[in-house]
Amino acid sequence: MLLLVFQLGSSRYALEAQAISEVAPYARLEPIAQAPAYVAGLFDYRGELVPVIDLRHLVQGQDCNRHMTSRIMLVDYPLPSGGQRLLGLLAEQVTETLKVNGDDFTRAGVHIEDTPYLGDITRDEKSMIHLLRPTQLLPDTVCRQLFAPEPA
Amino acid sequence: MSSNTAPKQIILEDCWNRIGVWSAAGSSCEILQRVTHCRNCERYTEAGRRILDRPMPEGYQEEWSRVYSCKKKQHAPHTHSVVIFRLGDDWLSLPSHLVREITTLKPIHGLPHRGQGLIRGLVNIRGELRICISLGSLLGLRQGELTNRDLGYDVFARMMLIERDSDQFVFPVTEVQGTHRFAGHDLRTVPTTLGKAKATYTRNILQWKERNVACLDEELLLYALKKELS
Repeated sequence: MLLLVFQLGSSRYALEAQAISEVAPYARLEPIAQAPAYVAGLFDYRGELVPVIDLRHLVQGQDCNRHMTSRIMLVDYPLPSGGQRLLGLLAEQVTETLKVNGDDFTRAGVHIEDTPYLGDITRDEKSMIHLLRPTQLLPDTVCRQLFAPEPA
Repeated sequence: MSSNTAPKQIILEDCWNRIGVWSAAGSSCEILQRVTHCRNCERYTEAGRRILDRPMPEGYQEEWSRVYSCKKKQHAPHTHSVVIFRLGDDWLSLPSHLVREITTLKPIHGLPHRGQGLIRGLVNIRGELRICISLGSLLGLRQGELTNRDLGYDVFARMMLIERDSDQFVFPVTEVQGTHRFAGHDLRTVPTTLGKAKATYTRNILQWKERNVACLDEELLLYALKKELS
């Protein structure tokens, strides 16, 4: 499978390329008042307002740097109520893809309740790469806040 | 949300200029034995990736915001392809897949008792004799009146060889404009005022450079030619 590899701080992470519909540059985001700190803002994506999560803030409590290699990965996020919506994931060093076999992964062997999105680990010649599960990034409460149902 | 790290200088280790293929002193890097050229080397790739790893220039985010806030323009795919040509005063077209060859004008060897009708005679295309027909006669077109001066450019008459399955026909045309690709919705229906025979064989009208080009009906045309010649 193909992975899109990126960095959060000095650690390397990856998402399955199949889950990503587009990689966009770090465009200007409209901050959302009172949202959790890891919500970077709203991205005006072709007329649709897409909430963007700062992955580095989510994982490490620090904002992504404002480099040209920091980019927004757009994924379809499944809603607890059914259906799916676009979600932007901001990360650093979104520059490379990596082909790996499905059995190249090792279970992390650690389970931390607050980070259900951390998946298995693979490695290349440089370092370990932690796979993220994009569909489990948000607690249901935050998900409901970001994707309010359409008024009937 | 801004924890702007202080702009750090990117220092590239430009080994390709020192010991690689662009080195003035000759290449001495050991990796070159494996990768042949620096552009195949992972260090070179790595350095290329790092070039973008620098703080955004002024206006970077605003510029991309503008780009992404617009709806994506959807171009209808150009699925149709025709060869546009002129016969006398009439602009016509045939599907590109039907046209096998376009050659310069060749001498037509007349056949006895086949003077002015559909069959013009035989013509030699790459050493093979083909039946040469008059498309104008089939479509009921009049002799053209346009001259080079009307058009404002030089015109070269051509011969078109069309082929489908095992049927081949050659016909001379006044000029060929080449292939043109377009989307299906660029086609219009045929106005009823067109000449009768031509209208029968015209499937659609294509707007091309402010001209109306008749898209000939491939099925009907080949059917009629086969019927007339059998």
